[in-house]
Amino acid sequence: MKLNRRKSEPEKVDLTAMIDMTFQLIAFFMILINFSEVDRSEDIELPLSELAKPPREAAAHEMVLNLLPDGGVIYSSHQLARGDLLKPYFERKIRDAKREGQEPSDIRIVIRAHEDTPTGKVQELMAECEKASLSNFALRVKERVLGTQ
Amino acid sequence: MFTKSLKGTTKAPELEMTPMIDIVFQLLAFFVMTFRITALEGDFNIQMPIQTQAQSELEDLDRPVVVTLRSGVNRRLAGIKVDDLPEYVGQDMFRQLATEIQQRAERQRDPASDTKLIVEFVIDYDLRYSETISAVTAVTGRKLPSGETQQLVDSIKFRDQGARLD
Repeated sequence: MKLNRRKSEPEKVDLTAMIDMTFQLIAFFMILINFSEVDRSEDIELPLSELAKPPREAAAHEMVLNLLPDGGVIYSSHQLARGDLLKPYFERKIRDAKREGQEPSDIRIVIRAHEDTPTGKVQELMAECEKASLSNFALRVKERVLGTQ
Repeated sequence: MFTKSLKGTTKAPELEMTPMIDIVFQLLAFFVMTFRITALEGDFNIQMPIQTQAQSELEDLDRPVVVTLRSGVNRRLAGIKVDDLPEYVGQDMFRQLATEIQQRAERQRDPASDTKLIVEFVIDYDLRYSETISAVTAVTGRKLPSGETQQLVDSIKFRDQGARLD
């Protein structure tokens, strides 16, 4: 008996739905990605507060200083043993601000201090900033979700 | 691009999807792996005037409310003092502090008055920062049942650096 042999063609899978879904997932993650996290140090456990609210508008010039319990400061991936070593970074930031017609007092200093840090060390860091004429401070805290300690 | 056979029939073009799908999946893997769910962060604004006027030179209404935080065992908060009032101690001290500041804020809500309620903190050097933030939270305002925050003070200041209290 003679069999009719047909050439077998590869089955075509419709990929449209999968590609649609994948692009939607990419869009979701792209929107949620937060590049501002580069300033956040993993070593810092912020204190909690129920009144914590994200700032309504970002300052034109901002320095995020991460303060460790031993007084060490992490600024933009630079780990410094003491706050007074920030002086060159302050000077650079003030130069940048002045180039855009802003005063040192317009530069927002965001202090992300670990919850165990002695408050005196926070104030010492603020005093170092004040020496460089920086007086606009924000103490960063983590939002306390209701029902948590 | 369409190709026309000799017989005049048209064939749909075949797009090579494999490289695109590869790239798309790599992008997806990158975003999934770098995605982190973090709690919201907020700020408390602190004013640190470079030059402060002497307390004695200020008029009564402009004088800030001085809140003194005393450190105790394990650098925990042992007591809170508001101006010359008796010190608050125990578990209820944050509530007492909030009540006192609220009363002062209500007194100053007089429309005829243009004075601002300023709180100045004097803090023991060793006090845990989390305790300081709890006190700052207590004076800053309160959460209303609607979820909004009622602001109590106009400005918060820290007096000099890390005064060691005895």
